[in-house]
Amino acid sequence: MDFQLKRLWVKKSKKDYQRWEKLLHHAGIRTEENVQYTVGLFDGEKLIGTGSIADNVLKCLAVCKDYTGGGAINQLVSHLMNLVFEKGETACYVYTKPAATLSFQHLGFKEIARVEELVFMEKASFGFESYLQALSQSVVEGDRIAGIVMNANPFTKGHQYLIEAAAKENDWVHVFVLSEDISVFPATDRKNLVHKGIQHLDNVSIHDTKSYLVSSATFPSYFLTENSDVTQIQAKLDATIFRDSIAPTLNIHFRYVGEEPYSEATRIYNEAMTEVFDHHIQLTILSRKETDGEVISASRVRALLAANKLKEIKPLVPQTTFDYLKTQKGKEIQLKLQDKE
Amino acid sequence: MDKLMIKKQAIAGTVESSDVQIIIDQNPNKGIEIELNSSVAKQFGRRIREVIEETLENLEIHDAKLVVEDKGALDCTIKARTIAVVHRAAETTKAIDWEAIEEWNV
Repeated sequence: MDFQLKRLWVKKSKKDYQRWEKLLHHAGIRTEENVQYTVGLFDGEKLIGTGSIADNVLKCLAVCKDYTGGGAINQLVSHLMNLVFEKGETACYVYTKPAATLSFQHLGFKEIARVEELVFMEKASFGFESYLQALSQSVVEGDRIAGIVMNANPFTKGHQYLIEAAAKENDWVHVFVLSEDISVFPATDRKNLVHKGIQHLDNVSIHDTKSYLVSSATFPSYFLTENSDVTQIQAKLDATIFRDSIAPTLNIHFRYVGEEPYSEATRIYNEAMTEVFDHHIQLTILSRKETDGEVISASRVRALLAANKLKEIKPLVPQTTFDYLKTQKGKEIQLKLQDKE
Repeated sequence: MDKLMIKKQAIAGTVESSDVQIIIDQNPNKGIEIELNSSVAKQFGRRIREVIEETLENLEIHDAKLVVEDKGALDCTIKARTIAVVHRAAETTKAIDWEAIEEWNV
């Protein structure tokens, strides 16, 4: 049996939106705003299946009950997967329910982690296993090994203080700098500035996170506002990946984070980590470093940069970051930030 | 004709019945590595690997990582998908040397 694939214009066409919503609701799945492409699978005029893409994640997948077990889901997922890989993505992710994991395994997806009713799966040529294998090259022996995850957008004295504090209390500190290029400061530059800012410490190493920690795949609501239930479950998933796979690979038993008085997503994330880590990993939340009664944060640095108040940035960032802000590249980022306002 | 080089990850085929989906990526100096999942792995797993390896050999690809999801494809399909995925990864889909392929594809 052959079905037709046709794009659904869920943001432009009311008719498309309504039949899309109806099909998803029947399958017990909620509609999502954060999708870039949606396709429908048709048997004649009848909409029998749908799926969407957001970057490298397949979302809102559903097939009408009468058509499950046949080729419908395969046709749908094939189409979506091909689109994702043709865009140049190197991996394709899907969130699904425990009951559907087997179907995705048959399509070549591998489970990365699960929390409650959510399973996170990946299809890639060099996937999660390769990432962990690469990480295992950096294993350091020691009694107290800590981990820190940061975006460092850009690297401030606050980040530096957090790493210094962890370095003092631990034999070794593994710092993970978010790999995705979705922040104003490019990933390579962010990593580079962390590197330059910790030259005085000899027990710290820096790693990539790929798509596996606080990424648009594992934790989209960190970057896009979502309701708190969704944020919470994604936060738990992210913490679970760290607890079950990344931390054991590097023998990490301590994780350090900065207190976050302003961001709701980070607050939920810290809560989720406390709960998920339990007795496996000890979470230390350090209060933020202050200058003149105000906490140092990367968002404040960005705001000052947009307002062209370079002088006020100087006490907030290490010299190396400050030098970078004055380069041509730094000025381009400043323009980007000003455009955003 | 220039030698084909795997420049980037590429995909060909689908996971529909009787087809095969192949993802290829670079694998510098590590030879041909095939991760095969097949609904008929027990009966035809070895043959599927053979067809892919032969085709890569003919295309003079000696280092590549492949993830293969087979849904019962015939040899000719496997061969066609392998040829397609290599050319996509080599960014040479506009200049396929059909004559050379004809030489070995009998």
